Amino acid sequence: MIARHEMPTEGAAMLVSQSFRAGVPVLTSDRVTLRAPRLEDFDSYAQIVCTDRGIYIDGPYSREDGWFDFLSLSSGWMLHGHGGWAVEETATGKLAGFVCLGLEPGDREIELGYLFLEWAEGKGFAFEAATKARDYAWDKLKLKTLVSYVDRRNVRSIVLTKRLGGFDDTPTDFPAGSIMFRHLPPEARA
Amino acid sequence: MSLVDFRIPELTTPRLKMRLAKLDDLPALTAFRASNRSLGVGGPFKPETGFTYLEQLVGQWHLRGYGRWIVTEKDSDTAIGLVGIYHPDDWPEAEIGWTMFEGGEGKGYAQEAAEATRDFAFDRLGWIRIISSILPDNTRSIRLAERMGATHSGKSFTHPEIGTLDIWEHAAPEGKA
Repeated sequence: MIARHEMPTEGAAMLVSQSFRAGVPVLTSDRVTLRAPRLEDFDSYAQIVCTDRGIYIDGPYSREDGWFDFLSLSSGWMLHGHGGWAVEETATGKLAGFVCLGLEPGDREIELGYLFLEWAEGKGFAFEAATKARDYAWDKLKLKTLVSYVDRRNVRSIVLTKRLGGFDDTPTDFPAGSIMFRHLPPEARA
Repeated sequence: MSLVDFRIPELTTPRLKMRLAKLDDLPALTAFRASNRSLGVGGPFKPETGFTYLEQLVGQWHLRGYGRWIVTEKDSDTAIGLVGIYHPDDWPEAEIGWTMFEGGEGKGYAQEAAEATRDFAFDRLGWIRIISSILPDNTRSIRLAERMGATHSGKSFTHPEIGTLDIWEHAAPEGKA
């Protein structure tokens, strides 16, 4: 059961929240739909960052820290012009995970990141959603490059990042446990 | 790169404006958080956490549709405080919070903005209840709550890092209690 304070906002406050949602681009493919994060997605976010699934992103976080991290996903859209999406399975509307074009304090470059729920693994959802987010960065935001920071132990994420065309570009002064992958738009790779 | 256009209800009081936080507020927020003035809200904090704080201020508005405003004097855009509805995940319910930066105190501004927030919650959001949680030794805030007509509910809640906070209930307008 969802706690009362994590239920969707009602009444006049909902209109404010809806105006935010309307500003975030919706990206759709046959299998996945990327849309603005909503309050009621937080429980799923916590299932990733506040559990053992969060060990590769310096987690698991406390639920409180997970909440503040979740707020960053949304706020990027207003502060940077890019941010996080919730990813749904298009056919069912079921929440599969999250992708982001993020820029956290300390990041040197804009990051393509992905966090998925256990049920959604092994189906290609993360690949399809990350491809959509990446192409949005090239086509709409006209970015020249993106990076993905991946924990060296996170085999699943390393495989996915390579499949997306990312290549190891870890700076020499980088923390030993992390790989920095670089993504380049098609014209830069040709 | 264009930023997503997002607007919130802005408030005005006889002497103040209350608006959404923006990137230009970062120096004022960071200075407040690094100072001893932030002791009452868990600080002082490292300067590099200022941006994360800005993200939280904006993000709560996005997701909940209510949040805290940057308070400025009417003829200025300089942030002198942060007042509004604070509602993190591990809080018992939404609360009115008030924080004034250096230069914003001692003028009755906190009360003016807190009352505007209370009226917004009851009249515009249509709520029937709102609280403030206050540390028992925070006499300044307790006095402000009393001046606003809030009453100590006799209840409290214990936050793992901040400690035990007393719950004060704000006076609802006639017919809403």
